[in-house]
Amino acid sequence: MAKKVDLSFEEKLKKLEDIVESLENGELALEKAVDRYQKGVRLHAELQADLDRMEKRVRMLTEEGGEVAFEGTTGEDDDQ
Amino acid sequence: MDSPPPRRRSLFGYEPPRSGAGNGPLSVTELAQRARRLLEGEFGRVSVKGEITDVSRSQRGHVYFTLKDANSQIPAVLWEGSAKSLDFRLQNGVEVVARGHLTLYAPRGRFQFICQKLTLAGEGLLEAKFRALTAEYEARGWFDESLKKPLPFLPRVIGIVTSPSGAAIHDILETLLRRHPRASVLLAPAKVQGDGAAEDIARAIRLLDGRDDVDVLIVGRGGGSLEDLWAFNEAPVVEAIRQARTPVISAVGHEVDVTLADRVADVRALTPTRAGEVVVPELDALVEGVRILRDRLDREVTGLLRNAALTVDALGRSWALREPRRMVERAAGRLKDLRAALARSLEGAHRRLQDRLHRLDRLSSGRLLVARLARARQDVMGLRKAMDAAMQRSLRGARAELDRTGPLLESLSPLAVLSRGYSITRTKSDGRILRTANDMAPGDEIVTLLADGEIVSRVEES
Repeated sequence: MAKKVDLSFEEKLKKLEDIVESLENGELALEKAVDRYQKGVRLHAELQADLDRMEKRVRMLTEEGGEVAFEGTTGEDDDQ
Repeated sequence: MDSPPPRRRSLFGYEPPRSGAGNGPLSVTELAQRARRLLEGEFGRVSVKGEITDVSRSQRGHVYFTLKDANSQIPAVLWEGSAKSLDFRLQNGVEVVARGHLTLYAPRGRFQFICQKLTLAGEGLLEAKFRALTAEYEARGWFDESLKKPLPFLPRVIGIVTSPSGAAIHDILETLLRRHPRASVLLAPAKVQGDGAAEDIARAIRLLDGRDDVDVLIVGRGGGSLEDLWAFNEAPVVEAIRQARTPVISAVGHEVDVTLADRVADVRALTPTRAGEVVVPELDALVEGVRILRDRLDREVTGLLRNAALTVDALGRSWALREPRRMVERAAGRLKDLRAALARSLEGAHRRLQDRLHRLDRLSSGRLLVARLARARQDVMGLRKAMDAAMQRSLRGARAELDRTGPLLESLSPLAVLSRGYSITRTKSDGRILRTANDMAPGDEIVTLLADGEIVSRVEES
């Protein structure tokens, strides 16, 4: 049984692709097209916000159960 | 040497030395040969386990080394033919099981062990264990493709189980952060070899799997021998990966090192670097992709609006809208024609009637004349009725045509077009119709004419 993963970014991206494709295929009445366009603009704004919200964060769990920043290593030590 | 196993009393070719008494001392060669036969007899086929050290190769490909343990050592040699078919690297420190015989090389007085066959000692055991475990888990279906979970497209947090000071974490982080500089990573440190490593790794996996924000796991370590990697073949690790609800990427050692953790994981990365590549998409590509979609969106709608504007323009320019009077004039003209035709046919009927009356005049019979007059009068009435009816019909037809063309005209009128959703936008300053967005700058005022009224607005961006 898989864990429920938040796929909202991927779903939003797919929806925006679908909207763009449906507009490019033509054959939509003007009103419907403008409506879709507005939906697309909203999705685009959300995706941008999601991307902007991302922040680099590299942390390590401690024995006490907390988290500390992890600086990384030079990678020269042998695995021990 | 094909000699049978030695017995205490009689050895082929062995004679107890006779001390003193007439035979004199042995030569060195005699002694050496006797000793050699003794050795080869007693130790003609032995298996010995020890550690290899002082390895060196002669030009002809023979390998000389020393077999040792904590307290003793024996020089040994592996002839070139056997050395060629070794299935492992012969190097110092390796534990082996050597089969062969002891001998004394008389010309050098060298005691040595001639190897017939050389196999790895410790590894043989582990390899057998590995094969057995593989078969067992395979039978339980733990490696089935259908159990493998797909990786998330863009994980919120990437969990990593490995040594905090090893080569693996360095490689993973470097690759991962290069592809996605704003990724979120959480490392659960664990011992990756030695006592307790398997339990440590399993515990770390369960910790990260239990967290809601961790969408994918990488479990691995750098390269090493089968012994070094053994923790990743042990039950606690295999179980933990199998039971994890989060998708797991295994990155253990190098391409040739397949562990059971690799088999049971959802995705196997051949190296830690590769794990950093598959776990996350390139941020740049994502940003660019989203931008391109917005571009296509804008371009499409601009095109649609432009086409709609052109249509409205064309309608506005069509002759029907420009000169609706012509439609009315045409209808009026038809009516006139119909009236004229009616008048003509009336005239013709009237003339025919007159001719008839004239003819009747010339007739002598009075009664016939009256009867004929009466009939004629009836004819005239009937004719008049018919004419009236015809006129009514024509008039109705003409009116119907007018009625029909009326709504058509209306629908073509600019007002009706507007009620279908189009609008006409003019600049406030000089009242000209806006056909292109480039005409306007932010701050300009525009008047939009809709079907039922106007809206005055100020441009924000164009």
